[in-house]
Amino acid sequence: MLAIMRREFKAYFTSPIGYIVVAAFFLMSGVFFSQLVAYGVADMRNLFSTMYTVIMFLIPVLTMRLMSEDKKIKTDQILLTSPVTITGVVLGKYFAALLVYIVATLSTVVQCLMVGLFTTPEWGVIFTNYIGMILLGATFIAIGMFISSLTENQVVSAIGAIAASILVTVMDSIVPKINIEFLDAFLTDATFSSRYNEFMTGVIDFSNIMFFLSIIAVFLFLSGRVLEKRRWA
Amino acid sequence: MIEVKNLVKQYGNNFAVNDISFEVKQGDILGFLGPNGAGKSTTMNIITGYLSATTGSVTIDGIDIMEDPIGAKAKIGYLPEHPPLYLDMTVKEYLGFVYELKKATQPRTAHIDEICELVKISDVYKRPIKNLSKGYKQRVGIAQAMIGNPEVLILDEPTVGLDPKQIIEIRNLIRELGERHTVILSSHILPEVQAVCDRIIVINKGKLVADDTPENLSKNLSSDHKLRLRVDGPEKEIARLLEKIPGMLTVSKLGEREPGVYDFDVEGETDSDLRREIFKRLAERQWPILGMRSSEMTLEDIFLQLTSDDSAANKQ
Repeated sequence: MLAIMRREFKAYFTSPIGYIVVAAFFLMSGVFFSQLVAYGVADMRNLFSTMYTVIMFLIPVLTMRLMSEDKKIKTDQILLTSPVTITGVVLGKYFAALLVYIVATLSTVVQCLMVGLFTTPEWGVIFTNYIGMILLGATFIAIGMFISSLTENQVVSAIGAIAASILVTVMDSIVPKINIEFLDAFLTDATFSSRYNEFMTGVIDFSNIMFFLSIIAVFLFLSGRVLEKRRWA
Repeated sequence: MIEVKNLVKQYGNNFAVNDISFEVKQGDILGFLGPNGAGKSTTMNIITGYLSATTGSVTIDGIDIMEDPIGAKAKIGYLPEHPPLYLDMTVKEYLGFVYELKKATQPRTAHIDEICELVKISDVYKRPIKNLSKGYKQRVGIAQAMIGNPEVLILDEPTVGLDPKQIIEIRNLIRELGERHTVILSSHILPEVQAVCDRIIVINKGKLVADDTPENLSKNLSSDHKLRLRVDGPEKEIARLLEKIPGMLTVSKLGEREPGVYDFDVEGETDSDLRREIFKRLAERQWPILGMRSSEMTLEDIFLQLTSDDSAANKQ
């Protein structure tokens, strides 16, 4: 697993993808931050909640080649004929992408420190915001990796992941149109954006953490199943 | 060392591999022969655990690939049809990655260096794989399979894309490897299999059509009673004389080779030996025999014979 993780992480930075993701993340957070500064707001929560959209679109770039490339250039043959479990392959790839994402999120620490120079921000809230942001990204990565495992085509993989991200973000907007109680409840509770915004208020709700963690687990499991299924097809 | 039992791989109604069984002993080099699409790669993919068989079993050194895939895979080095290379890595990074992936225990640098020397890729060691020629990529693929010194090497068309000199080098390498490893290699090039392998398995349309040593394979199917003659004398009369020999079935004229010298293909009854009789009769007429050899079948002929539709039908 470690070998695969190391390889994938390195691959992000031998191709431009890793740099692009980190740079784009840093750029966008910088743009939002400068607007905060222009309005004289020192509340970092605004920054983190606008980053949601950026994360939603950047992560598919990170995950698009994760599984599909292996399938296309047949490198899955070496992974699947080596003494490594499928879980090892999936986790190795997952953590590599997650690590790149964490590097990207940590670039925003610069802005937090800048605010810290001039005022005393609520460090606790910032901390929970980071937890929320990392959990959100980790979940999108798991979903994106699953979609990537379904196709050989990176473009299809990226578009699929973006579509999925948008879906889980705006699901609750159709709630007023539906009058089926359990469905309404499900859509409201399963919408990522509202879960994410609760972290922004500085509240660490155990159910929110479990929500994201269980989605991660489901999609990692499914990615493994897709790899396993290839043996039987 | 390798035991394959009643292997079947079915895609819908299509049998890619249809009831193949064989065994390979330790230190043997087994050649897999068959036309394109015969099921060679599929069989190899099943043996290495990349694909699962529909029914049947594969055991490597007593370990079932389905029951203990990790244990069995640890004993196998595999070069698939398309070398599984990460093009964005250098040869060094890639082999290092494979070393970790296979959890090799040999001293790292020495082991990788030794393999690079063997397959002659030391001079491209630091270059990105995407910049290498097909021949070098193929050799990196072979190197990859050798990492960790697995007991079993499975090489799917190892000499594809190499130039003739490299082909000979790789063949010699495989022969050397055969002394310490059990090797299965596939090919559709006959001389290659003939030159390297102790045993040959011929597959056609997913079925096993022959399993023998290269020598036996050509012996069983060749016919001592078929001769090719080169005689100095009048063509028609020689043919007429030959036809009169008891036990002679067919005489075919192959035409003039040198001025006044003609070639003939003659076939006697099975298990007959007409050589002495032919000599006596031609000598009586003072027509010197310039050449006589049994027209033994080459592996090429055998291959064509075995894999032609007729013979496949006969085997069933």
